[in-house]
Amino acid sequence: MADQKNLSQELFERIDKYVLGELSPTERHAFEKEMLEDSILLQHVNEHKYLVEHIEKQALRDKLDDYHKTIASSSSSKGLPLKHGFNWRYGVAASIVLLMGLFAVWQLSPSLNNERLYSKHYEPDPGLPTVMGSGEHYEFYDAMVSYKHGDYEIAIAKWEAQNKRRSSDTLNFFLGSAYLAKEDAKASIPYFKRVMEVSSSIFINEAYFYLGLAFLKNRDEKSAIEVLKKSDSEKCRLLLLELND
Amino acid sequence: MQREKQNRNSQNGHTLIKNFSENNETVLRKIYADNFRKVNAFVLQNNGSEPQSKDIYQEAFIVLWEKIRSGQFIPESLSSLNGYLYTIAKNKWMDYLRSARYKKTKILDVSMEMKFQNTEDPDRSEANDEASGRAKRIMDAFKQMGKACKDLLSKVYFEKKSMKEIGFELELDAASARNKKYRCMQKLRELAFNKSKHG
Repeated sequence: MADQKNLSQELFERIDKYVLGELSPTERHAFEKEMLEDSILLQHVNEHKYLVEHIEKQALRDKLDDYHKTIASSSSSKGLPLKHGFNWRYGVAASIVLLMGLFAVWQLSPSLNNERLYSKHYEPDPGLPTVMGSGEHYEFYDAMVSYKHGDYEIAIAKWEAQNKRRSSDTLNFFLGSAYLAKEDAKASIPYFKRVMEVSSSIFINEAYFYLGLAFLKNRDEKSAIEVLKKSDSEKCRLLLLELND
Repeated sequence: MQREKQNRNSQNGHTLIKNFSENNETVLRKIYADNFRKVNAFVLQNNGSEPQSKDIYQEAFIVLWEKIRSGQFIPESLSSLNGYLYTIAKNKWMDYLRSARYKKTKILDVSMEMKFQNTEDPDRSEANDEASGRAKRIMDAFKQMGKACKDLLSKVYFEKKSMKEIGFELELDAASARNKKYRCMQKLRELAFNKSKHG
């Protein structure tokens, strides 16, 4: 086994550049040829790769507790199941109230119903965790801080400027969220639509959901239903169910 | 129409694979956050506790990450990825419930919460003992390193930041940052491989 400890810095740098993909195609080709001819070099390279792989794995593991905090602070914690047993009496009482409420609601006019459904299902998107010192994404997270403080106008101004320079589904999504949060549903609609154009966007299900809500707020039930049908996320399905009643 | 859907899916899949190889944290965080609820519900409904569901979920997430990067799992879409993650977590929990260690804890003091460890069932373990021993030494050594080296190596190899950017963050010039990287890697090797000499 090659003696790793005595790897000179020069050799280390060469191997590192290769493993990190920093060599030009010609350089890489030459280096790979060298690896084939020098079995010790090959061993060094394989061990370097193995080391890097496990550094990445442990670094990820260390970050997961931090990622977990996103869950605790977001509204999705509402979805956690109740511990067994404890709440059933409240459940029964709540069901009775719900039944009475549903009956009353059934009597109400459609537009009031839209408003009611909107209030029931809408919560401002919690946004992304703000990890400051993020280098090139500083501007984005700076606006995110404003968003989280409820300074939607400021967040919008900042994000608009960034979006003009370089548009992205992330920016469009949060611009839509910010407009919706400050109750300007109409302005939010084009932004969510733009998110939907990026089929690989991680925000796509949320975009469908919020667009549906934005249409509802605008009293456009038909468009809301049309849009919500396009997603099979649970939130969309639940809202659709209530709309179809 | 079918072809269109397939093209869209493979686009989604490629983007996801790219995001996982580059460790795009926005994507990783979001996928992590979006999938916990369902796993948590499963574990709680099957004799588990919240700390256990968190551990299982994190182990599963790492397996997902490894499998995508090694090409063992090729996600066609976000929803197939989500489904796969859920399956991994579910299987891990079921394995744990069937394991000897769990059966022992049921007989012993039930209030003893044991942190779930991914070393139990040989049938489900991925690597052979020798390889995983080496891997464990490296990861333990990384954990034990000083914060400065840990942060630096994490920025270089996980976040894949450039030396220039890292130098800027650490208030060093690129050359000093590079030297530091070399020294930290040497240190890591010493910590990881020296132990084996002493058994």
